Amino acid sequence: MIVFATASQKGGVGKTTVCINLGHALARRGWNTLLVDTDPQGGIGLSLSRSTRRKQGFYDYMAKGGEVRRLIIPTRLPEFSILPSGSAEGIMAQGMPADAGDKLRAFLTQTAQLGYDCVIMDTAAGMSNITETVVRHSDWIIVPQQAEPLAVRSIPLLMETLARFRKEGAPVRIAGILLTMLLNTHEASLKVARELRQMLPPQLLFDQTIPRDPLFLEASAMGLPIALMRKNPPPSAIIFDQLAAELEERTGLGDQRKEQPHRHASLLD
Amino acid sequence: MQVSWIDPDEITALANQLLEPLPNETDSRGRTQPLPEESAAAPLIAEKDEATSYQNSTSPVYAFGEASPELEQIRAKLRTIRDRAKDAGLLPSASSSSLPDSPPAVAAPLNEDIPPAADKVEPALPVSDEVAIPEGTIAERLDFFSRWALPQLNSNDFLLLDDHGDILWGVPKGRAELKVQAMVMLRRARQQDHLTPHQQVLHSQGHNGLYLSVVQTPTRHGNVILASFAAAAPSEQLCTKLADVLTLAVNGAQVDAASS
Repeated sequence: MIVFATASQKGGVGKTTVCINLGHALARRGWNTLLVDTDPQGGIGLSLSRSTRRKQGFYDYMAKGGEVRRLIIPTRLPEFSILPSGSAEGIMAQGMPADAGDKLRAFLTQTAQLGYDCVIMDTAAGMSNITETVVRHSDWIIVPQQAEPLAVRSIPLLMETLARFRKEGAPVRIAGILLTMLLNTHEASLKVARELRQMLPPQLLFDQTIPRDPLFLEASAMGLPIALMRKNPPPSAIIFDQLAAELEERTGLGDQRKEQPHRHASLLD
Repeated sequence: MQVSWIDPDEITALANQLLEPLPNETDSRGRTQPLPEESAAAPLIAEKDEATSYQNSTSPVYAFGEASPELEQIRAKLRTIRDRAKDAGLLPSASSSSLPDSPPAVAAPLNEDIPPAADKVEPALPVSDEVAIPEGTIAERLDFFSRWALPQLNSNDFLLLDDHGDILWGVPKGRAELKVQAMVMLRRARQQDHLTPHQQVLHSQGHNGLYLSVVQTPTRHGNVILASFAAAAPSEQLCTKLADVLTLAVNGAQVDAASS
């Protein structure tokens, strides 16, 4: 099982949008995927019914433990499940428990035993205690970043934080910085993207970018993958399929398929 | 003129730090379980003579290098529960059917010659608060589940289906109406958004006076749907219990039904 976490210094960069759509895309590619909302104000459960929004979730587990499978909500796509944030009031008031790391390890152990191939953990902006704990215990970090001149100032700060975690012994690896809200019609946005590609090694910057699109805003407001916004997925939905494929390459998730060169899908039975 | 408000030299230095291999890293790629040869949503029934390899996906793999202490505790607890179930006579003896927890090489058989549990001579399992799913193949686990579930449902008519309506368990002969009605009700509910991801149970009373109940539950192999006709609709608590036990029978684990 591979654990992915998103991380960013500032909010509004598209973490939740990326998590929902990437998780859905990975599930459509056949990976048994669990999307976990660790943001106390997370929007992943927005599309669920009101009663479901009151369901227990990640923070209830971190406070009281228990069986992870009881917190998981299945979706219409069998390979895609969601675990909402739950009630964070207790933890926000009292702070994270001292054994948060142990509890998170136990959480992920249960998740692996349930047979998930991927866990995607959406985090709150900044590096709060819980986000730091999640990042330290994840296999790969995805860093959504707005393609705007001022916004990219947060990149070195986050890179410095992640480098410090590594020095302290956490096996943190960056899957890549993912440029979001790229405005293809605005020269400043395009120039930011070009400059980052010159500064950063290709291993740290996804080839795929996420454009600024009104449909993403609409989907984000509803907490739905963009592929489900219309009866037939819109053209922009393919962006996350491509991102999922690139993520497989970067993290080794797709290695098993490469080792089976003669196993190809058949067009006909 | 650079538009990004960052220092290229600083970025380069930080990037080099992040790209250094980790102290114990031998492979820079992720430690991952291979994707099963068939998709996780594929029906449990495999093609004839084709083994579906779920070998690695059944074993817990999240660990930084070696098995965690929690895993050993869980295994020890499961062994204790299994031994208690054997002592109580709920499980067959070791010589007959206690197999290692191997992955389902062949899924639940679709065989019209195999009667449903209710038609077998041996009595159904007694209802107990603790449901110990025996180790064994998925066929054995589902057989155990059906012998436990049928008296709970007070029914002789039940099928296990996948999302496409293919029968995963049960005798299809004479149960075509059950299958069709269940899938029609399920699809209509989904199309009308009456069945949201959190709602797993549907009931309706048919023209024959019997209650059609559909319980869907997510498993490692995809959604599994339990469809049954009974004189009365099962309670919400029973449906939750059925879903939990069915999930664990398919996935292969143990549950305390009283804790649901």
